[in-house]
Amino acid sequence: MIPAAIYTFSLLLLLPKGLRCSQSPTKPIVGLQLSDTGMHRDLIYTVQFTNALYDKSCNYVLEQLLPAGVYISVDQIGDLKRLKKLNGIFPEFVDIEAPTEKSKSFTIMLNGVPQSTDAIKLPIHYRYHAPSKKQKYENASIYFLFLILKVVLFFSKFATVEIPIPKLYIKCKTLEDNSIEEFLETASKYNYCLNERSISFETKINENNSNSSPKSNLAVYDNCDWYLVDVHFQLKTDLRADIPIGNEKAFPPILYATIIISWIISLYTVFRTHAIPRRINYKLEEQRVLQNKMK
Amino acid sequence: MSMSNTAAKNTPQPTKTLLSRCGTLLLELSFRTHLLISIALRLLLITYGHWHDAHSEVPYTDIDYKVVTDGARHVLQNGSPFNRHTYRYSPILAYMQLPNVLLHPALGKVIFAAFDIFVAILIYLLVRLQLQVQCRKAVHALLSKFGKIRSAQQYNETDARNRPENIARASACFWLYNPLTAIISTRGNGDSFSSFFVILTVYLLVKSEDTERSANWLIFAAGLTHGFAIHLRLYPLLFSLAYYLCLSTSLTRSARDLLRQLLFPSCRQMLLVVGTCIALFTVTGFFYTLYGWQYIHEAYLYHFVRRDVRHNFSLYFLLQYLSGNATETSLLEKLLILAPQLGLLLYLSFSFGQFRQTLTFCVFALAFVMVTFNSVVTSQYFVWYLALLPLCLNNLQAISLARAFIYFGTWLLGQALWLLPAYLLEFKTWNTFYWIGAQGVLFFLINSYLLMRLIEHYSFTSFKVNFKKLF
Repeated sequence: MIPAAIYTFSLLLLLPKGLRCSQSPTKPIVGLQLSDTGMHRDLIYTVQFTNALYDKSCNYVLEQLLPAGVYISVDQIGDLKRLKKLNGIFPEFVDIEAPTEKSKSFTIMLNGVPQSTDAIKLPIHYRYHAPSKKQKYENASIYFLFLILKVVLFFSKFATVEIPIPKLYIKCKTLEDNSIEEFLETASKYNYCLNERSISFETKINENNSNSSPKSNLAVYDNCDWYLVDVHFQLKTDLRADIPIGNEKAFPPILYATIIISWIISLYTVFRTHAIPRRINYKLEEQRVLQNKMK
Repeated sequence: MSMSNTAAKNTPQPTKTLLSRCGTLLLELSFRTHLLISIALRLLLITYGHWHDAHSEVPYTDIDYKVVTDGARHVLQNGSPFNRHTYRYSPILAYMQLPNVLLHPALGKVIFAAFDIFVAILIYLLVRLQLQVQCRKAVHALLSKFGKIRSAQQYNETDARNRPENIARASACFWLYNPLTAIISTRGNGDSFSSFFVILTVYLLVKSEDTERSANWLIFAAGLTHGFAIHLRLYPLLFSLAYYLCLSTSLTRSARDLLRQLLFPSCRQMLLVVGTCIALFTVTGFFYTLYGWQYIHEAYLYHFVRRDVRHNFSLYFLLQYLSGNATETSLLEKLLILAPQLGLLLYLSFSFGQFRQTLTFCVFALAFVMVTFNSVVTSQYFVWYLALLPLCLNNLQAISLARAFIYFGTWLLGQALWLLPAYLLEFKTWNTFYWIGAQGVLFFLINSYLLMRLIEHYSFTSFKVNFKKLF
């Protein structure tokens, strides 16, 4: 018993300073939640930090990749920024009309200041998906029990869109003699520079990259010393959404049905009403002839 | 018993009295007072919108207003308004919105709301003018039958019993107090602006029939406003045949007659065509030199190739969605889709576009068909025909008030039934594409039925002639 206690005590003394129990780095907790249902949702982030960082003039950035099936409305984001309900770096232009198949994924950055709990609400919208020929059904095992619901199956296709988990970067101005590793577990040994123009983080390793001009490098390296941090994610809801898609096989019958309806209605309108304008026009023509005679 | 009855009769019924007094008061108000009330209502809505936007995440302001304001910002920076994504209007709208950027962000809405008021004034003037012209024509025709042509000069054209002022005021109020149009314009939508020029064209054409001396100038001016209206929005282009035919001197009964009319236009028809071309090509050409091909593509060509797969009221929504990115319709299929709409537009132009007395109803019916058969239908498009409906109210007096409410209720029901699957798709991600498609068909059928009923109830004259005064 006594030798074991001595061993433990001596081990604690020999451990590096940063790993001691009293100041052991903790992982920030990022809660992720996809609100409600539907094509228009909120992606809610709940970011929790250890209180050791509160007075260190730190900022954090959540780097979020949004898949092609999702878009943000730049105008809506502008309104939220104006109301000071959202802070971050967003693309200047996002095509809100294009379907998923013609869109690409893009990155956004959400800014915040470390505190015990910080909540960020990002409004996102799902794009329509092109109809598909593939048979992909939601809860197929349940539906297949009922023959009658086979019809429903024909009309109930869905595509799954999944939002990937974000990355967390942090930068502190007043760390004094301490390094960031003392407070947080960093996921990479590099520090990163935030390129606001391309909305991405770049390592200084790319400094000699021939593709980037010295001026752009200067702009990038103006905002460096960002650290990628290990995060403990808490998924409060599923980040996947099932987006309805049509059945491409239904196109021919719908085409012919639409043509038939429009033709029948148009012809019926003419057939049913043609006598009225004819009567009016003859009356007006008679009036015109009389008027011409008077002249 | 009798005393108690008398007492009951004498006891005032507050609700009924208040309602009837309000009704009487509204009827007795002058047109100017109605205008002032409407201006105040619109200013109030604009102020509310400004306050709402400052406090709410869901803005009152239309997204198009932001687009046009951004366009104005680009113009101020010597750029093109088309640098703003989804700017697909005439550059004039961006220039009109310069005060938004320079003075106050809500000023553009005031400009659009002002055109709302101008539309009401035009409706008032046009309905009054039409009634006067129709009445005079009816009297002349009647007198000529009795060989008393000279007596027509003495007959008061605006016989008080025909109530042209009252009907004109009621028609204008129908527009002024329409909540849909008031909200749309105060949210910053500029559809009233283009509607103003459409109605102005019709007004000038009807006015040209009323005067002999300056008729040609009025027709030329109608051509100019028509050309400008086409420059603003493409849809007035489809009114052209009706405008052209209403200036003819004889009835077009066959395709041969039409061909003759087109090949050998009358002097007045030529004036209309020349006026239209001058305005259209001058304004469009001027902006083409400023903004190049991008302007032509975004403002005009885009609307022909547009493929909006997002849910809307259109009959063709499901078809467009299912065609997706891969499925292309053949030329024959495209023709089969387009032919019913074109056929109906031709039919209506021939049926109601040959006389200026029926021109307002013709333009309304054409706009109604255009919207009903459009590949994309949203609430905003309803303004196209709602601005023209008040012009025809006098011609639809055969419809009783109860029946009018039933028709209006049916039209609203069609939209409400569509809203349910649209809500389930947008906010519950239910797969309701086919349901929305079916409701689109139902709304299309309702609109077509309403068009038929309106045509069936249409009458162009209903005059009371004072025979004692006449003979």
